[in-house]
Amino acid sequence: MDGMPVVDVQWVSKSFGAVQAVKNVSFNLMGGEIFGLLGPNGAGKTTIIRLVLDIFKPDDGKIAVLGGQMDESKLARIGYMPEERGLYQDVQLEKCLVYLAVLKGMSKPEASARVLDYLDRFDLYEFRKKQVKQLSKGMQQKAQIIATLAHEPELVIVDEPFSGLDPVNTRMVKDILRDLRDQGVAIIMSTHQMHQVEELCDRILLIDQGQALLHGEINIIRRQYARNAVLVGTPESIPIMDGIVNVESHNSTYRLVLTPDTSPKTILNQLVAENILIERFEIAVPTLDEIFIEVIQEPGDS
Amino acid sequence: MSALWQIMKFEYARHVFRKRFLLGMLSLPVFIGIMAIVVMLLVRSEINLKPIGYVDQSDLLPGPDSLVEGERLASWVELIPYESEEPAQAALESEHIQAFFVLGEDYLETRQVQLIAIDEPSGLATGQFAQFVRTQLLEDFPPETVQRLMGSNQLIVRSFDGTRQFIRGEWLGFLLPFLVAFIFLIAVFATSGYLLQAVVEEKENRTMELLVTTVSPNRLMAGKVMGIIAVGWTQLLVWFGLVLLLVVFGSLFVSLPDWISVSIEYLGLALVLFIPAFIMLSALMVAVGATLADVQEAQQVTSLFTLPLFIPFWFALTLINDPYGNFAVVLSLIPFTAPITIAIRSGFIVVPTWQIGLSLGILILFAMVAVWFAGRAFRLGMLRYGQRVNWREFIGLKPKGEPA
Repeated sequence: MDGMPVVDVQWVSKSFGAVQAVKNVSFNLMGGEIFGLLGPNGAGKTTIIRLVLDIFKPDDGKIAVLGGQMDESKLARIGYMPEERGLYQDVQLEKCLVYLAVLKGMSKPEASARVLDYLDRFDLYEFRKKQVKQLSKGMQQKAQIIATLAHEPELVIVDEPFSGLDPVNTRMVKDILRDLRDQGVAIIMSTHQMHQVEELCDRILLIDQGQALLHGEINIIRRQYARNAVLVGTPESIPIMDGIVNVESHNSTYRLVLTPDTSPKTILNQLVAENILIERFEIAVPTLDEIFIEVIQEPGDS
Repeated sequence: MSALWQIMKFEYARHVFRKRFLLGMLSLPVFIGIMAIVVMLLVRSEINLKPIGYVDQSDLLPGPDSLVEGERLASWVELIPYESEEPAQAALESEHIQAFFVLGEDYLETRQVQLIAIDEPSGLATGQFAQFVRTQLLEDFPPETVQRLMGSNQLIVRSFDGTRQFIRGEWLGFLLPFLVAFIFLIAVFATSGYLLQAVVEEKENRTMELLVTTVSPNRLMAGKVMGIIAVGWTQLLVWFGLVLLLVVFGSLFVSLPDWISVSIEYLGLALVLFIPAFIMLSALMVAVGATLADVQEAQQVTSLFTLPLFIPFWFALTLINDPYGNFAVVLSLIPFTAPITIAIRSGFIVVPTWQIGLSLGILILFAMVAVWFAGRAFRLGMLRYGQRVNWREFIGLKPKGEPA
């Protein structure tokens, strides 16, 4: 698989009746990478996931998964966590997870051992004999993650993986996803939580109304959307200086928007010259949240 | 095969080892048992079990001294012989007996018997006396001859080629086809309930989405259908086992009549026809469950498949009166009516082999088409939460881009 994308989506389109859910979308995903699939509700994220998983067939374009066209033999190499919980509600947690792992091709003893290990890691061991419906929302989410990962897939697709998780478990899931990435697993993560994307993802695809609006490495995208502005952390007030269009302050941090011909270095020099105590100075790049809102509101700008 | 087996096992265990299933399975025999006991108690309380007397002026029956204990207490009602009408009348007035019969001297010529009673005795008592008289009249014949004369002939109808036969005239032979058809219907309805529930719930809980990214829809559907069919048959086997237990247990106390010898051949024929019909109906249930929005709506639609199963019952008289007629043959070839029609006809005639073969062929073909149809419906419908699938999509007239 070295050098070959684990998922390769080329100019894929998909309509449902008169509604075009996905329009000419292309992206690829390499092993050892976490790829963020972003977009507002109804943007077409889930449809793209279902196209990759071969639940839907594309009208146009090509999709290659794990080195070729999707077929039943590849299902065992994929772990999928849908946005809505999909576990059997009236079955004991352990039985349910072992059953799903066995369906993915594991032997029963192996599946049992792996599931018990994960249940222990997720603090669900003592609840293993409970029916799934008796678990809290967060516990069910953790169980769903176990069902996705227990069979050690090469490709993991997770839809809103942090939904319903407390900070401790969120961190645990993040660590697990990072570990998987380090082991070479390819991960597609669809989420609305931009800070999680910023923390975890290497590259993103932002879609709206079925069309790709942004695609690429997060850092490059953020720099692309960076205005000519700097962030200055200081306990003192910022004096009026040449080259500054606007000043916003929040908790001893100032965001200075510069004129197009003013460089950050010029501003730093001026602050030093004014003998201002500088605790922090950095170029202000927008958060993904800001970029998301900007792009969605004005898609023409992308 | 492994995944199929796992799905089958899981579906089976998921339904069978639940309180709801166990309660449902045991409630019917318990209900029937309670009803039987209540009916028996009611009947028993209604029947007058006081002895019946008789005065035999024809000297055909044993006198008071010669009636042996076995004969006196042969059945429910004790028989007491009297020398003349006076003591019998006195016993009746003192309510020692409920009635007495008088056989006149010319009984053999006239076959007239007088019955003297305050209230007319039940059919049980009069029937028992009639049986007693017949037995006594045939006293000098060998027991086998008496036995043959007391009952009608057993008519064994054999097919032209000698491969199949059935016994006509036994009342169980008459009931058996309806009993077998009834059991088939119970199995269909029990299983359809579980199947609908399983498929619709999985659709509502989004479990399907997880499952179809684990195994192929066809394999998933096949495993589910087989698992739940096994659930239905478990229910039937338990009921059958309870009946068998009752018969075996009952035989310890009561000598069972020889009509409890069910034709294995007949049951085998019924089974051969019921299995593809069962698969066909189960697959259609899956298709309905996968394509409709909720359980209630699904149950309404499944009546389209289950109502035709009753057609042979509605026309049972026609089938019995003219089992070789065109109507019977046509119903025997329509997949939804074939199993029960042939089961009923086989209770009265030897159904021609070509009709059974053709019917079985059509059933197997329809079962295969239904399984394919269910797989397609499953794929089309599994991700339509709260939506139904347009029937045009099944036959390929779907709008471009719909899930295929």
